[in-house]
Amino acid sequence: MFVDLSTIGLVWPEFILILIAAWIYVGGTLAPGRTTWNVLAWSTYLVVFLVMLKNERALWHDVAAGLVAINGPLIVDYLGQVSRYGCLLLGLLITMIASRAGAERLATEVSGTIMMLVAGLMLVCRANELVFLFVALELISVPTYVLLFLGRADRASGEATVKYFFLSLIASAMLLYGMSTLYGVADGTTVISGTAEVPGIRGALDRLPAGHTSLFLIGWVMVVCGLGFKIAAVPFHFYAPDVYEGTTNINAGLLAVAPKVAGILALIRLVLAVVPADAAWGWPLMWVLAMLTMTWGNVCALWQQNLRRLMAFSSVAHAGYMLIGFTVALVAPAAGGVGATLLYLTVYALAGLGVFAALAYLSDERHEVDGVAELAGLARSHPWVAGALAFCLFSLAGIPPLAGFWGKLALFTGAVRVVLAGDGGVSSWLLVLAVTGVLNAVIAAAYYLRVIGVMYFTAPVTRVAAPGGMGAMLGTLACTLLVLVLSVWPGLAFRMADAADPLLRQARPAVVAAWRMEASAAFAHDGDLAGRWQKGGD
Amino acid sequence: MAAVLLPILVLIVCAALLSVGMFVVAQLLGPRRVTKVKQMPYESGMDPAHDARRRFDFRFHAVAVAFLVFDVELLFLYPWAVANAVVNRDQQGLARVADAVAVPMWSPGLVFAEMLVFVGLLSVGYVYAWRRGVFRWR
Amino acid sequence: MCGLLAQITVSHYLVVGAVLFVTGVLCMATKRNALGVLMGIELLLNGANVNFVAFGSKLLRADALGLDGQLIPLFVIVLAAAEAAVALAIALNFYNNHTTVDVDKAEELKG
Repeated sequence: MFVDLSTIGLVWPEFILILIAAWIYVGGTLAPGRTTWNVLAWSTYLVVFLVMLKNERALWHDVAAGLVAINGPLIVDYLGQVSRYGCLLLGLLITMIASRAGAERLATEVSGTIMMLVAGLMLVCRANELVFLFVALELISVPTYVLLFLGRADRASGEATVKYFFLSLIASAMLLYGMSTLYGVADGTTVISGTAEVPGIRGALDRLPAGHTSLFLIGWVMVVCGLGFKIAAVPFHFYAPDVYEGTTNINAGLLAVAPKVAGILALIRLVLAVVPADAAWGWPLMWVLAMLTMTWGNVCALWQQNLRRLMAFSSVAHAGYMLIGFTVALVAPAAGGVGATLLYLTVYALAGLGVFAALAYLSDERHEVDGVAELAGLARSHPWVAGALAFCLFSLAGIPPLAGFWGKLALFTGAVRVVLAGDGGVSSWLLVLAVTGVLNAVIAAAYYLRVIGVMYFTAPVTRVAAPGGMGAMLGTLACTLLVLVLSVWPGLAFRMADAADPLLRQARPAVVAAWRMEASAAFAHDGDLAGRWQKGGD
Repeated sequence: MAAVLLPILVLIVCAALLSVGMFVVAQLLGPRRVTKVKQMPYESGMDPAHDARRRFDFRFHAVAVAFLVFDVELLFLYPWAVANAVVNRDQQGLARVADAVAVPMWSPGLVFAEMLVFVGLLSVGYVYAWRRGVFRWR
Repeated sequence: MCGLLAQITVSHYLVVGAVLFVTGVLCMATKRNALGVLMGIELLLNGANVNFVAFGSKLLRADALGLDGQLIPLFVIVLAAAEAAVALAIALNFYNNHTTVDVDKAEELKG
């Protein structure tokens, strides 16, 4: 793994984000004030987004054609490119929603820390190296601790912070231990999917003698456990309801989205990438995790009275749905399981963030909206907020024309496609999984509809104020609008998600033989990048 | 299995014997002369002003946190310094290695710039801590 | 003694790493003090560090340098320090709210 100027040229957006975040920290102490620095943060995301779009046009053309570049610790492919833009958008939305978070004196810390977190997310998108991935994941975790800490100063919040901190650290340590085992098995190289000269873990595994797989299995399972914590899969979900309940609505929204995006991406980059194509041991673990996670999450969510607890269990259940895609991908790489998961993740992230944004709009640091009952009569007092909230909840429930439905459809059809292809024992297991998924969607509809029913058909108990401010309102509207766009035009999202599926790309023959070198031409020197392009087919 | 574990067993026994043995030998042979000076908490330092179990000011913790971060961050300078020494000593050898593994040789200037950026970010952290009043004592 | 030392292999270091990891888990499970739990975390991370160094050592490979196995622990140590810094702040905050660092006293939120 060698790093040169072209590598730095590829990560300049993350670099800029970290520099601006540092400037926001220091600037906040020199010139306190919320609005100025929030505006700086928003415009940073926007400018970086636009400049990236302009600069990386050549890169886009290449990755869309299925080309993959390995550069130092980075892998440049369609998944990495698409998800980086998604992360920037996520950062913009979260900063909007959190524009009134925290104490006035520490307001800049909130926006700066969110920017650090977004930089970490963007690095995870293209991580192709164990330690790079680990450091990027920690660049998400540590800001999360700080944000939980900044959230509110009372007993429940402190307890939630301590709980999340310690459990997240255990998960990180398990991940690291698993990575150390992978590193040992793969004979020194830390590249996850490499070139011909540097084979990477996957390549090293193919040449492994039969007796050595047990050590690899230990590492693989520990990595799955560590990342399972990040996405709140079931044996590792127990922190979620407590932490969500204890912290603010804004932080709960962040926890529901950021670690989940990072965990899913890391699962794709690391856990799926290192499994040999003919391995029969990968999918049963994912199958069990998926079954447990979606069923347990949905059943527990049924009798929750606290909104954030309910959303916590619902986020657990959604992680379960996404694991269906991983199970499918491990059984049949060409069935498009990862693409379905990515589509589902996008839809879930937007709708989930929309729900928490609406709740944040109804709360401030003096009073957080907690109970489901507090939403009674919201449709009359705040029809717009109630409408947005209901729309996002409907989408999460997977009611047919909405985006959530398209996500579930993609996941279930992936499973059914493998069943129809017919492979004896495996296909009947997947049929059970798909049927359980559909049943779960029905259970889930019950508790989402309960919340919507309270908003629309119950007389108000107390008047709900809406002190959350302009930012939270804009965030709610933006999330709802994006979910609406995905609901109306799901085709584009389907195509992008399929193109981003790295397993599908490996199953496809190389599309383009001649490639161009303009990619990040501003920084790449004497064609280094050019030498590293490789065909997507091998 | 027994043959593999034997060295570890021997090591543990040696370590235990050594630590217990030193203790016992010190007890047996060491003269104990209790004087007033030796009973002081800091034999060669200042006299402590009060009991150790009283509350400490929060500012001590803030300084401790700042020290912890800056102290350990300097760890990153260590491999850089070592690699830099090698680069200066053996330019040709390095070029041969770079040739053998078919990668372009990195430029010392780039590595130096990277370190400058790193130290720059650290000093931003210092300015932040300073402006937040970590070092303000009154 | 020389004959005994010659038999030391990577597996021995792995055993040390595993013992450190398990000790860390036990420490986190049994300690009441938030700072004690933090020490358990350091043990966990260092167990993994020992693994990395062992796998990167000359015992396993004759040709390659294995330097990455020694560099990864540097990153982990720095991360651990950053986490300890955050942990101190969180523990102080916890103390201010609960007037104790006994994590068993955290019982507002029933999981």
